[in-house]
Amino acid sequence: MIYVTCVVCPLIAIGCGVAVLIGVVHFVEQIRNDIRISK
Amino acid sequence: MNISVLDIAGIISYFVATALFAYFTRRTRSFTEFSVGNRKVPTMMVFASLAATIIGPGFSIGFTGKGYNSGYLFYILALTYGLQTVLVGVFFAPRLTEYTDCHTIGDVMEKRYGKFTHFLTGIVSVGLCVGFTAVMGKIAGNLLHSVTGWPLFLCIATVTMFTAVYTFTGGVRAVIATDAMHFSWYTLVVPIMLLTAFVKLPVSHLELSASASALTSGGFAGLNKMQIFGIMISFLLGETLIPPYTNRALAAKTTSASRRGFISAGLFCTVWLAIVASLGICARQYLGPNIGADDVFITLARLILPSGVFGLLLAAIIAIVMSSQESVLNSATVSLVRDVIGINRPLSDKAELRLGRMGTLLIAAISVVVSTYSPSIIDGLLICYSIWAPSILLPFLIALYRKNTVPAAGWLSMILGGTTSIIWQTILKEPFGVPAILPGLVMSTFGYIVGHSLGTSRGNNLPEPALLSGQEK
Repeated sequence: MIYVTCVVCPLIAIGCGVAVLIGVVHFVEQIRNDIRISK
Repeated sequence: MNISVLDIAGIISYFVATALFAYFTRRTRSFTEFSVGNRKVPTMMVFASLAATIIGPGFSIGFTGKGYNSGYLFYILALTYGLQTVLVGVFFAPRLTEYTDCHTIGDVMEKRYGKFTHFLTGIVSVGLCVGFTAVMGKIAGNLLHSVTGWPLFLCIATVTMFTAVYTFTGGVRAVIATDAMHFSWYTLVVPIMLLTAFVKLPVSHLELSASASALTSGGFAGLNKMQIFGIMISFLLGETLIPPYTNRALAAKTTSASRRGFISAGLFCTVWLAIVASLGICARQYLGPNIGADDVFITLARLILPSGVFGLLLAAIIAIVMSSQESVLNSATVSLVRDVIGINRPLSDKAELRLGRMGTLLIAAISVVVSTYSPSIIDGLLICYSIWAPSILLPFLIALYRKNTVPAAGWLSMILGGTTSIIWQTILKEPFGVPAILPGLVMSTFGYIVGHSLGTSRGNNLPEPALLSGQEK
């Protein structure tokens, strides 16, 4: 149990963090495009 | 706090990165863009923004302190919080996403219960969000104060106004983008801190496991059944669909983006709370039993992280606070414009956007004053917290499922539920250890039934939701 909460959970969270980092770059690019189109 | 130049450089770099993000996502041309991001937010961003808002100082620093004192007790009790978010994702968030002409909970309430209930919802929403903004500002201000030594008022104003400026220019899209950036940052830094603490542990893993078990059992022994039930119910219902969460459902691109975003955030919440509770349990092995619960997180970080990395962790704490503060600030503003100022006269989109921007600065300024002026801000927040579910939740959830509703049921349920909860908490001081949320919910249900029986039906004034006919937005 202690290995799940102290090792597996942190690794899952790090995976989520990396995935969101990639997602947010794409999202900001989308916003930039919207701003460019609306100008 | 004793910190190095490298640590300060880490914090400044983080503020610069956030400012750059805000710059790239600035400019909003309509109120729909400002309040619900043109309803174009994808699954990943709904998830990240929701999780970032949920994980505030309480679910990080606070939970580490709980883990330090009572092992996995609060983690087990708070599993109901993750469950709540998953259930909202399955049953309610997709329905909310169908309300494509609504910007707030108040807008949805008006469709089912009329203007008076809309107004009441607005008052509760703005009050709750101002309270949250003030508390978050105070926490972040205290942190900045301990790092820089600047006057506390200046620190609170700096952090709150920094958040307000990019909420002011970019609206909810800027909030969601920066939320996601904050989320990425602390989901990298805090788990790495736990892995470091686990690897460098001064005792064996078997001893750590035994200590966790003993602390958890001791924690359970210190609470009676009613207290355990009360805490679980508070985690389950206390924050259900508060304005920033509802706002994410309204901003989602599709019903499935909304559903998946909420379910993922609920599941992530259970993983995150395990991490911070474990951090507290590990901290006990490093620090012994005599540290104040609120200081455990920082003291452990200072002990195990090298200079520079510690600064990055401080930046992560600021990120945790700011990601919650910016969301409640934006929700407070949108609610102020739609549910309070614009309740009796329809405003043009331009006027709403202008008011939204001014409102952001106004609410930020009020929050700064409230957080520094009132020493009992936490008490005020607890009152807001305990009246949310009893006053709003029942009529709101029913509004999402029933078409034939009665206006009197809405406002009577809100007034009875909210008043009962306030009286139970502030005057009666929660007798028998029963949390205010329980009698509040009972009276809210009673008020709804009485109002529904005696009032006149409004009839169905909403188009059939696409969800019911199997289509997707």
